[in-house]
Amino acid sequence: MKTLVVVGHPRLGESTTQQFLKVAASECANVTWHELQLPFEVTQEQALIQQHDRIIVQFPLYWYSAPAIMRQWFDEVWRMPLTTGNYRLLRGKQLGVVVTAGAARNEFQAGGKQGATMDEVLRPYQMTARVTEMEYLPALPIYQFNYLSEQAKQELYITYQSYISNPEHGHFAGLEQWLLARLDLLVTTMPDLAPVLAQLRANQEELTDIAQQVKWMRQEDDE
Amino acid sequence: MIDPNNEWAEQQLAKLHAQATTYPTQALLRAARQLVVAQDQRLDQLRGELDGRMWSPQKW
Repeated sequence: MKTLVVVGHPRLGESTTQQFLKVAASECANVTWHELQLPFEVTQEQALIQQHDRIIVQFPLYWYSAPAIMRQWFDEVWRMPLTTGNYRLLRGKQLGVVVTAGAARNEFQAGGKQGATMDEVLRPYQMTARVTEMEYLPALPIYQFNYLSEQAKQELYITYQSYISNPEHGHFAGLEQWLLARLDLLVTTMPDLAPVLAQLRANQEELTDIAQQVKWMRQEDDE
Repeated sequence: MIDPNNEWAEQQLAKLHAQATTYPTQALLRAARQLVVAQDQRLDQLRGELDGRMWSPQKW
């Protein structure tokens, strides 16, 4: 799976969040980091989209929308010939959104200070994915990055890497598999990790077995 | 933690996390700690469900 991360930020150099995400992305194989700059070479931009399976649009939330440069990218690039023939060039790809917000998570809910959920704010992306028959990935909103604790930042680092590079992001078994593969690479420099990983793998196997048994029993009980 | 082996694994990961010198390694080991905790919890829940279904009075 190849991922294209499209970053639309009018002042990219000043954004510590985007720098953090860029470092995280640089560790992932098969990820292309693409910072939007005007003017767009539309043919090249369209080719980039075609060459990748998972398209991530990444931007700060400005007035409940994407910054102008991201908006302009959609307007200029997401059109013929990319959208020709019932969107056949986009169909089956994935679309994900990484959005950063200066407001707190709990403000984004009905009755909260912002009055709407982030999913409602991002509805146009969901609709775009729907009409082009792309698979819409649940968005990854990052709220108040600068206030995150060190622990929360480390968690975000891995969650973001999984979001852009894990084919099965969002499923526990998929996360398990992806993390174990990443941890395997550490063993050469960290031999003490080997027996720990063996335990984690034993858990993984047992979980798969027991989940299957439970599934059978549920079916049996339903009959 | 239910399984002592998982408790051991979690402790080892905490130690390795403290010794890790680079940010990506620290982040990955923290995720591994969370993974073992989640695995332990899920195993406990699934074992519980299996047990519950096996001994269900409906089957007596």
